[in-house]
Amino acid sequence: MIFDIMRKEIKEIRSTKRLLIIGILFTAATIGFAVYYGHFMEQGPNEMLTSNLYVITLMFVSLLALILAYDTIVGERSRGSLLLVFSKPVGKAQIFAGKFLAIFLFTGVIFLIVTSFGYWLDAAISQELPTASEVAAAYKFFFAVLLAIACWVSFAMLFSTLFKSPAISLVITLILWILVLPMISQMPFGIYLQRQGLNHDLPELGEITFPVWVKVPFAFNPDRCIAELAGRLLDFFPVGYPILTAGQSIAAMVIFIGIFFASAFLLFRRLSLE
Amino acid sequence: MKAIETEGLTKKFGRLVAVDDLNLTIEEGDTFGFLGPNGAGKTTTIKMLIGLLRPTRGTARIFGHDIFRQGEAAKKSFGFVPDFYGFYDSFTAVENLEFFATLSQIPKKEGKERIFELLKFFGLEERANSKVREFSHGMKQRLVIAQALLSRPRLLILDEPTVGLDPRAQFEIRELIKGISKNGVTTFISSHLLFEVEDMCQKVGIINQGKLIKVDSIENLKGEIRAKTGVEVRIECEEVTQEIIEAVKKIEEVLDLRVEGKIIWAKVKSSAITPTITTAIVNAAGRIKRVEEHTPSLEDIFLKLTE
Repeated sequence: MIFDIMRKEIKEIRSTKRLLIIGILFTAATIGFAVYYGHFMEQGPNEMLTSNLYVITLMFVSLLALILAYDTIVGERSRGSLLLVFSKPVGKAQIFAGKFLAIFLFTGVIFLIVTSFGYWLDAAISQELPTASEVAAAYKFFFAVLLAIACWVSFAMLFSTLFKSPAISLVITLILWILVLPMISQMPFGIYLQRQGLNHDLPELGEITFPVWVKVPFAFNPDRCIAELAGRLLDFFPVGYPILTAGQSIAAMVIFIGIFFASAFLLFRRLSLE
Repeated sequence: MKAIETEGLTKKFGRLVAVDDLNLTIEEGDTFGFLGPNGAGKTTTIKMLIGLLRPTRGTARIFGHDIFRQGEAAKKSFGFVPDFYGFYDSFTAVENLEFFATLSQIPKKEGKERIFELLKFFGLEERANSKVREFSHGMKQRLVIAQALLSRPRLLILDEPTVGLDPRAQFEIRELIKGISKNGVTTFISSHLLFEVEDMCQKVGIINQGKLIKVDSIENLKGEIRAKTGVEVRIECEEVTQEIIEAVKKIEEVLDLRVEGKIIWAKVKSSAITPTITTAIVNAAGRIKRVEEHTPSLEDIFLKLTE
């Protein structure tokens, strides 16, 4: 039954233009960055690919998960199909799991295709084949990204269950993703740096042990956690600082999934179609 | 066997009591009309019956299965037709029905056969592979009834099945529902269209302001109204003279009398008085062209009970 619900969800996702729109935006952003770096930062497109493509990819993978999940429940509710689904002898747990898995796997596969292509394209441009350890690190990172995808799908599904209008669900989800969560996670970090009189660019930041009141809010944002993991697994810190260890980042994402998945599921179970 | 049984079913939204202590029993094989003005609590009752809405108090059982405690067993025995088309517009008719057949736990092969059987029955076989978004309202309504019949349910629950349809499509849907009822499927139809319920149902329940105020067969309800309010007899004469009026007025059982040109309207206790009236008119040298008894319609019953 879960498989059938997943199949239906994926069929529905494919019938919308969302993937195409996000694909176009992603391509435009990638080319835009390449041109910008090539012209103004005296870096070639190759350097751009290695230093920024994965940042853009991660941002778009989060966006894709959110855009696919924000109306998975509220959309069906407003169209009335949820009424018919609920009148059938199928458990709410199966419906919820089918929807979650469909969006999670679909986004994961898209990410795998895009990053694999990017990785091998980079190798082709630089004419340097990645070593076995680099490929292993990349695939470890892929599994970490799956965790981030699960975070964002659970997050968006909570608001999809909570609201009665798809537009409200979309706006709230995006505002929380773009503004609120980054603010929550970055603000204590900024305050700490200011208090300590430290500069964001100091290389020795990597050696500082940050207090809990900086670490916990910082961890409450899967985008931050995945950036931290990128640093740990790919040995690269373009957007963040090594505030969290790999284990702490993974644990934070697992807790995030637990909170949002459980809340969304409990709300879905109690969902009354008035 | 009781197809539907509710005990003290109550739903409150804050202070508003949408459904108040509803006790209703519908036997298997009945065609039951659930009547009420807009906002009376019909849809809320249906949502509780099919397990979409938790009651504040009370229970609802479908063929003996509690809809909340034994939801799966209860849901296997009925099909539901909502008052709008909850389909996946980007899917074809077959894809939609296949999905709902899966949810109804119908084996794949059996489901495919049933889908084509229903599409044929509902005259949609030529549009089987068309996207639902291209369907007319009437076609969507036929499709939504088809999805409700996928699992060969013993009970069909319909919420305003002809709402938004043109008169021809309404007629077609009514005929289809009558056909389904004749095949032994218990039918529960919620509607505010009285002629529709009178046309399709033998038994009705009238709900007003959340309270079930009457449940009976349409014939019994008509009889009850007749006994309470009397029968109105319309007598068309060639000419109505003062002698004729006086002669009719003298009849003790005539409760009320009014004259509109050449027509006499006499309200009497029972239709057995009609021959007495016609005899009195003839004895007063009147010539009768036509006599009609105006029996109460479901509309009269409804208005009387909900006033």
